[in-house]
Amino acid sequence: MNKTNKLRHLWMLILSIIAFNACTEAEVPEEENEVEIFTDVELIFTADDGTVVRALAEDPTGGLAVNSSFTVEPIILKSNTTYVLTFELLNRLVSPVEDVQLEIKEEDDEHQMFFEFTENVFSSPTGIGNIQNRDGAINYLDFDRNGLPLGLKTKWTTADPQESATFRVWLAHQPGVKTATSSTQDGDVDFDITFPLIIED
Amino acid sequence: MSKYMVLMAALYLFLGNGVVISQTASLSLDGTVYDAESKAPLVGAIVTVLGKQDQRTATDQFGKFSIPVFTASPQEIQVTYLGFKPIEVTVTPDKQATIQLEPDEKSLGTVEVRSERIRPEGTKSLSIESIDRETISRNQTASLGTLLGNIQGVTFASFGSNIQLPIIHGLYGNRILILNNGFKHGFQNWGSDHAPEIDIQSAESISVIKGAAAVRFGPDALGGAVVTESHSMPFNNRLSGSAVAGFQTNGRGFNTGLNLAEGFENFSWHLGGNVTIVGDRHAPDYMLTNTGAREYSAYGGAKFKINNNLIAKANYSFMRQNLGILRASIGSSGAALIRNFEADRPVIIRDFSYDINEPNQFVSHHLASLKLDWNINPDNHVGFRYAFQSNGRQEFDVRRNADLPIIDLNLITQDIQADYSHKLTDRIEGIMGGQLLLQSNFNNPGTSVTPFIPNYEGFRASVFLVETLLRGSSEWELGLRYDYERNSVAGRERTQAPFSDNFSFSNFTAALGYVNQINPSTTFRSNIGTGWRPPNMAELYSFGQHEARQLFGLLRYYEDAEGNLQNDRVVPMAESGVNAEQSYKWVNELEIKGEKGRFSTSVYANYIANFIFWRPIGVVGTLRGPMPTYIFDQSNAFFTGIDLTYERHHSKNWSSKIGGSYIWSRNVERDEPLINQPPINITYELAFDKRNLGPFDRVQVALQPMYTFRQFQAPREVSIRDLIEGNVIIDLNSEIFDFLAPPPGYFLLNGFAKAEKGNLGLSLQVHNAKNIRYRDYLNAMRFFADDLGRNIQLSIHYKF
Repeated sequence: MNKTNKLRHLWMLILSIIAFNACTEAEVPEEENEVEIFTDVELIFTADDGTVVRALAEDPTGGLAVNSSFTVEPIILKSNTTYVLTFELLNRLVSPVEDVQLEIKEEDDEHQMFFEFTENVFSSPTGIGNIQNRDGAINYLDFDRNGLPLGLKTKWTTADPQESATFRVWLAHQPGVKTATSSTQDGDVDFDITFPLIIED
Repeated sequence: MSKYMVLMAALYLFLGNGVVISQTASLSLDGTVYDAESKAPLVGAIVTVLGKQDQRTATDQFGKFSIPVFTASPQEIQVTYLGFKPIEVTVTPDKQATIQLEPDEKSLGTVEVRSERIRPEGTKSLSIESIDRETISRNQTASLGTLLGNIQGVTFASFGSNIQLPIIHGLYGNRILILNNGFKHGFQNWGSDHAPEIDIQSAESISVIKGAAAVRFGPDALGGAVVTESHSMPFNNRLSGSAVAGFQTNGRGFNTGLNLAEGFENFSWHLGGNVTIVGDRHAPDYMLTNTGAREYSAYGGAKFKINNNLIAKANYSFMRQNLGILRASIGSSGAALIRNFEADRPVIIRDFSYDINEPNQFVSHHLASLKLDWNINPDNHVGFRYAFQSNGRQEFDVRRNADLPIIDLNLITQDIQADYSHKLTDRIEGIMGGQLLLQSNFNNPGTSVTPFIPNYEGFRASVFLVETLLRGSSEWELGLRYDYERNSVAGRERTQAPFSDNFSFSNFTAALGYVNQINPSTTFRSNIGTGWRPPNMAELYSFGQHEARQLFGLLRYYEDAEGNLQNDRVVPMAESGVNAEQSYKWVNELEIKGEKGRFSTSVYANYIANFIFWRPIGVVGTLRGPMPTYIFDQSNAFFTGIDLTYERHHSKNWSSKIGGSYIWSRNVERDEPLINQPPINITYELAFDKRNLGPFDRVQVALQPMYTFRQFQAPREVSIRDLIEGNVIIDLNSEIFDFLAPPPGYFLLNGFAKAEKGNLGLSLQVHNAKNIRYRDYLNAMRFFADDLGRNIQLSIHYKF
């Protein structure tokens, strides 16, 4: 091959790279399942007699809007009644709607629900909960694979009527750090919501 | 250096004239001597006919020589020049010989020689400042950013202790072009948290061009350019190399590296590699948890002389980094982030560890290049270059699926350049060229997050011309350039609905430069030029939480009829008011070199229309707690400032150097301050340098105190708490603010000592010797923790 020929091949190569690339259209990236997001956190209090009380905290954009905001409904419970608290945790941004609770159950050794409430609103547990102090009493009804509390199911007995109490729920995500003594200071926060709490006669 | 110049000139006069007087022959050996690297003619090179010491001469101002001979048979001559390897060639009488001298690595110690050598055409009217091999090797574990911070007018912005990027005259990020071995470094050049993945230890020299060098280098050089040069691989060079090993106290880091090079008559090669492992660094009072780093690099190259006029060079380099980011900078919820903002000490402090956990950045970069240099004749030269770069970046965040990267990108860059340097007449010379740049960015699926930046295919074609006119002691330089850029973009909206867009930008840029050697010691340079830069993908399409912030790109939000910000759809470029940045910069430089000192100053003014910056816009409520939010915004901005350096030799062994820079910047469109602009700083160095001291061949000691002022041009402070509690309401028209006021000024005492004996060298470098507590305004981690405490770095190097 002589020199001119080589040069011509080089130019052909360059021109074909240009022609090929200049017209390339970008392809849309694959759809991602945004698993990190909660849009709905609903507290479900079920009384012994089967009465159900629901309170919803809703963040329709999952915190992804430049002007995100969220709404919190008050919890209205009967006095001197025992309730079991369970949750509905959803991500409505994806279709079909994702039940985030399933994922938490799968990773039960990495999660724990912590609570904080106005003193004396409950006769059981007493105190102010375990967000400020890890050893505060909470009636956990479910436990992870290591026998440590999880908190997707808890038991609460209300005390006398009270109008302006609060009830705070903190889901801690503690991969590799969840122990019998780990607190809200360990790991990260999946959500941290304070609901107004009203105990009615 | 000037002393040698005088010597050379004297030799030239003496020898040159001596030969002329005795000239009686009609035949002569003629030729021109060039620097093989810069292609510049060498003035004062000594040419001797072998075996005939009386038949010699020195090259004239054009690098030409002529030695009268009495025979027509070819003669062997030797050419020597200080700083270059001597060469012996055979020359036929009455035929023009082109002789190229390879720089001699060992003699090239001084900055002056290097800056002349690497000066690319078309930037003569802008001064270049360089960092030599010695300074680079003294800073074993430093990043490119910190190393360049030693140059006046250059500072660095950091994202913690591992990620630093250079700032030139207040501009950074992708307003600074980083040329890695001659090619635009193809990396994720967006945000303040992506530093160029360049192993500076592989660089032979690093230079900074402060100014709109846009005509020569293209749109990204709006603020200036940083040029790294790799090993020059000289021919006819015995096997040589160096090995280094070092340890540093802060982070208990260690590093080691090896370099080898060998040159034959027509072939030469070099090889090298470095490893750096650093654990958690510490501030004066506490550990900075998760600030470790691991870096591995390997590089190699080969040079072939195909024939006397054609030289081919191939280079390959690889770098892999795993960089930790301060753990306490990340609150996986807004509430936790605010706790981090408000805490005096980071909320997460653990014991020292070499482990790097989330948040961290994992990057690998390959660069393979091929260069062809064709010297058609002494006055005309053609260069052809091709490079392929692959950049993989994975960023990990503290989150429920922490083992999945939150950002996972692959960027492929291809760069084709051709240029032609020519000399039209004795007084007009120049360079013209063209460049094609192809970039393809791809999001690897499986991050479980909407891609922070979309996939894109970019194409840019450019042509440029720079001509220089010599007029007595002055030079005029005119540069013209045209760029066309096309992008095809495809990404996902918040709802995962796909979006795509195509857009193009094109621009014409021009620069006019003037250099005047007023007298032998004084040089004046002036350069007025335009530059432009299209917005990058992150500025346009950023979306979501990234590191410690929630960010929205220019096309990711809009203002609705009620004046509220909305981001339910991605705005097409054609509907948006987004424009490319357009800069008009004027730089004036004065350099006075005397026998005892050197003074240099540069004064500049830079108006940038459509300047793009990010700013806090408030705090949004989420179920995780309040989250600080930032948006990208555009406005017209003006920068002006001055850099000063004064060096003085007090005696044979003592010298000192003082430098300072000041920038005044303003958002002129809204008459308010800009955010994240470098504060005033002053540095001083007192150095002692003595040869043959005690048992050592050379001893150098330097003390480097420096003071950085508080940034008094910063935006007002609005605390996160005030925003959450609704005490302050922010919208697009509100005055700019920041979540924290700028930190107070601080004084740092640094120093170094170096001793050499034979092939062995020992150096000690101390940073923040007084272990003071400080926070730097341009370190994004200032919100969360103090900056680095005392660091003592010890390294040993062996050259052979």
